Amino acid sequence: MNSDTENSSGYKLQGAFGDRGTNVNSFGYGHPHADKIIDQAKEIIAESETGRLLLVMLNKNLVPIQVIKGKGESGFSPEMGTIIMQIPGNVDKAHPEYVIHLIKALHEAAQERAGFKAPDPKKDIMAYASFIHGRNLDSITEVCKIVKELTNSSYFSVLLDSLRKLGLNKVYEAYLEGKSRDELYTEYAEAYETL
Amino acid sequence: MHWQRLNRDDSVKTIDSVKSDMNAGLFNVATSEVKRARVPFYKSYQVYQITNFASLPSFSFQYLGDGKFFQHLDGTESPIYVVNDKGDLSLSIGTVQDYLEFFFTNVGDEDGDIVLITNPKDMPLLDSLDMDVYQAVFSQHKPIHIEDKESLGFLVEADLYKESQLVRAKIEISPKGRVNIAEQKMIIHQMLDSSRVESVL
Repeated sequence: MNSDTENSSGYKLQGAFGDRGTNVNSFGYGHPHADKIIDQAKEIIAESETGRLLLVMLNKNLVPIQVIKGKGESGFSPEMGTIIMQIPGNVDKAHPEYVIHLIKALHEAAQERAGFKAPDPKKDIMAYASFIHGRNLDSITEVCKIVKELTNSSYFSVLLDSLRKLGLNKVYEAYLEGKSRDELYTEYAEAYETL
Repeated sequence: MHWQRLNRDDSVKTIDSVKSDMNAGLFNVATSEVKRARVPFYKSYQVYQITNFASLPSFSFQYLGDGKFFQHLDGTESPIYVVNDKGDLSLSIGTVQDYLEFFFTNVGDEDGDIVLITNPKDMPLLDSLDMDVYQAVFSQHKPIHIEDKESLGFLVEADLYKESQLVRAKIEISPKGRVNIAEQKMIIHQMLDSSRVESVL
């Protein structure tokens, strides 16, 4: 963590090349173990056939990822065209919940690249909300599909535990039972309200 | 926490103070909201939260700030300790529990989050437990106990949810707010595999 007055190198530009001294804060948001964590997450996702297809976007650098230190939300930002992952700065391995967040974000990025773009919320907030929740459900369904494909892998039990932690276990159960999209949506809506 | 939304000018100033060129898109003034909340254990620093509503999920970033200086809450203890070392921390028997809750909410553990259980109803995954485990969580729970150790700080005995286990821990908090889990004892483990419940108390 940087101090209030220095950047990560301990040197701060001032005057014509800096911020004229008005900004006394300097932040290094980048995660120190970003590459390692993402590589580990990719390794797990790649054990699934569906996951391997999603990873093509990353392996061909079609969608950038920024790993930021923090405990906030992760996901795909359509505005930036970037996947944002927030992971506490002292974590140096891919916890299963980060793997789940990455799968979900990758699916959202794939949808965006395929042309399924959210309508302008300023024009029709209901259409926007409906689109976003529909896409969210599709991405969670993709997570379920990949977790199911990993049933025989050593990661399966921890991924399942993480689905519980994220409140998505009932969506997963409904997915396994082959329930309809409407029924999955009901479980998703309940999970969303709980969270 | 009681959040207060900042007006546009103060929001712009805050965003200008914390934004980074590398992540400029995340700190878009047009699509972001800035709010802040007082916490009882700091004299002048408050918790700031910037939320960019341009996507779902909405990306949020939290800071400790006094309006001019900001520390990004990055999931480590460092930003909290930096503010503590400025002399802004005011720990007392009445504020130490709030501090501990704030600490565990904002500091990640290498092996996952730690949750201070002040009310067993707030325990993670409670709904997914079988009835016998569920009942054990409530019957084994003890209220948080705080001991004032004067110049040594505080000793807190409390239940923690840690690495999928419910533990009773002794937590030392120094006068400068350093947090150390000195002892921990499992109350119920294998929370996620309810067929293997074991109560040790």
